[in-house]
Amino acid sequence: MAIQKVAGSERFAYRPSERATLRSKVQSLVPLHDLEEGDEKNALDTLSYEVIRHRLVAITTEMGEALKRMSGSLIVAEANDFNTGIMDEIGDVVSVGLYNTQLTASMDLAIKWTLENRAKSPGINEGDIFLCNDPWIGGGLHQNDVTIFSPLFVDGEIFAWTCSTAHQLDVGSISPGSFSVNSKNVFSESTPIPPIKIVAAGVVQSDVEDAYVRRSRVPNFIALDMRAMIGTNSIAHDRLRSLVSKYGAVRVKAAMRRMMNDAEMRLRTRLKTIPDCVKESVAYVESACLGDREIYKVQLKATKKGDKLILDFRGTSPQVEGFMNCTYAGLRGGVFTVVLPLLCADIPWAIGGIARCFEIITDEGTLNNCEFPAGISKASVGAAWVTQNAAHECLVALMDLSDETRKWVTGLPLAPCVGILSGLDQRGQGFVMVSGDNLAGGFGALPDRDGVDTGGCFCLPMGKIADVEMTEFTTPVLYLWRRERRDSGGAGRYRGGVGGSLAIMLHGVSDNHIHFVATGMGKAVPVATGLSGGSSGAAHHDLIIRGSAAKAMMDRAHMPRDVEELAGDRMIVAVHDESELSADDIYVAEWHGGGGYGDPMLRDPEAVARDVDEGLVSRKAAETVYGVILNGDKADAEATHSYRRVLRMQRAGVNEEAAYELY
Amino acid sequence: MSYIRIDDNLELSEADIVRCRHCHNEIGHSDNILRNAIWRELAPTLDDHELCEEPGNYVDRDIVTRSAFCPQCLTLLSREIIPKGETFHRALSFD
Repeated sequence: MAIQKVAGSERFAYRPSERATLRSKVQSLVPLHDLEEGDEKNALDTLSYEVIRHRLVAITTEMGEALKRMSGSLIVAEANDFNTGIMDEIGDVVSVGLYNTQLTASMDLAIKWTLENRAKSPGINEGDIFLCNDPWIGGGLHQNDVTIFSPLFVDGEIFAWTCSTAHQLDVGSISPGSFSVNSKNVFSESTPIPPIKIVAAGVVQSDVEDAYVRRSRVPNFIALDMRAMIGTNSIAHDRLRSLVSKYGAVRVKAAMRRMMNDAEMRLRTRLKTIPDCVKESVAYVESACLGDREIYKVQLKATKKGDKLILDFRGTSPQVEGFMNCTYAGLRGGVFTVVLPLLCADIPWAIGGIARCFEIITDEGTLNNCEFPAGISKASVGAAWVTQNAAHECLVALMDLSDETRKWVTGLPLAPCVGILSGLDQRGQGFVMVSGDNLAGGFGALPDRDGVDTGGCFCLPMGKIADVEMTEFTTPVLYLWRRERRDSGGAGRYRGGVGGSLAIMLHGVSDNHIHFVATGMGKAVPVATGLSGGSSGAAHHDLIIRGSAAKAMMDRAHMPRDVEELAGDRMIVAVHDESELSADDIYVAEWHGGGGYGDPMLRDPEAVARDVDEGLVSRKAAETVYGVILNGDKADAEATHSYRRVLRMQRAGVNEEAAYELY
Repeated sequence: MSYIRIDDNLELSEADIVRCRHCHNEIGHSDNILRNAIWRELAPTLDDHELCEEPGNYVDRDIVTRSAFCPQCLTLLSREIIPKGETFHRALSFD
């Protein structure tokens, strides 16, 4: 069934206006600070610029640390699934935190939309704070990304904006955790909230707060996070006021502008070092909702010309019935989450300037630029992530062409597969646990070295996984294991980093069962594609073991160590699933490794022997994938040489006479 | 003659010829860098450790591995796991 458009919804499908256009639209409704001609160049000496620039970055970081201290949720306080930012008066991003970089390219959209649509009614005034979780507008990628942002007034004018966005455990919908695996469109999901004034003139609006938290299964948690984000904005305002008080509004604003201009200039200079070319990429993804067995794709053609990159996503699958589409904010988030750490590794992340180097072309109504009311509750780890993979593959191929940028080439990493447990915890309180363990995925290999084992999540530079003890303390689960996963790193001359594996069971749960939602990708088509002949990192794989022997084994003081020992009925978890776990059930997840780089047959045999010794590669894979014959714990150089010759011909499907005797 | 390194296996000459960096065999041209490669499409095997279960457990379409090799030294130049019947969407070309 086609997704029926909703008349009037296009008002919320935001594309950022040009600075001058936006200013002229709102200047008569709300006063905006601006610089006089020449101020940007003349008001600021180099030393002051550096001091103010570092202070702005430090404030952004402090916002993140403050949010973590105030939040009560593991996904914010432990996994760092949030971000913070400082924008100028018009919403252009000056500085963002090193947290979830997917979120950084949507903050500006929410603020610009608010300027255009809220300046007249209800007005934008000093002491106001807005809340938004409408990805068609911006701020976040799916409804769980709740954004709270606030204008900073100086001398009666909007001088800047501050913003924090954090993943909320549950914002309603038919599935706990708000990843609605049965969703066909957004009406089965949490209803997006366009920007609303949660704080007016410094006072929290309790009617608005009630309307927001009423939708959640864990209202106390999201109310606490809401206050944490309000507090984060307040801290930023205090610090920015001090900065303006010390250096003056003109110099601080001049520094903001220069940060964006410098970032743009440095990126343009960098892009010029890459030969002009056209690179295409594609990323596939299975299943748009529970029961769907189709495969979809995001297609990208990146044209590098001079100092500019044109990213053309035409050819991408149309939007689908299900919950994994993303809006334009998700597409943009998917692009900039790889642009920042790859192309801008040593350039300040002033996205307001960086974004000027890119042109994005996309059809409307596609998987990664969907129209209301397409389902989007999985967007961040759905179509936005697939977009990220396609963008990643294109960017690193371009960067591999230049001596200047090759050092930052990193192969493709994991895609998170989310397991959500919910019900009553060991204290009889409602809980929702989003398993973030698989954020410790393998990093892709580099052109000159292996990827980092369980290196993390590419879009979360300061990401981490929750401590096992902390998870067991806050939720009614017991870990049987959490460890690195052998043979999961994509094979290559340089191996992708290995992913991990966990097994958990219920522990102390009040009513002996809990609700379970799983949503993943990369099970039939691996997501961490190899580069330059390297293999893909291993696919994600999860199981539910019904009626396992784990509890009986532990009663005998034996801790189960692998799936075979658990006995019970083994059920493969589909790409998306929703069911219940009982006391004797085990959830096992094995997550992605990073993609390999280069032909595995060119890997140093001694490196393969070391991998085997460290438990990262099996002896069987050493032989069948890498062509390395081991003698004890050492590689047999002569036997390996001969064996590789045979394997090389076998895999290419040619006979010995046809092959040139190179090796 | 100077060359632009494309990746671990390929380089582009001033004459727009793409050659293998390992055996210097001509692989393609700037507008189609893998033109002369040997292409091979096979059903994936779990022994490669890229997939953990048969794809049919999750999707209806057949899944294949598609690889490109240098026709002379048989170095693996490109490898992807894709739905069967998809055209090659990973091309690189130069002006």
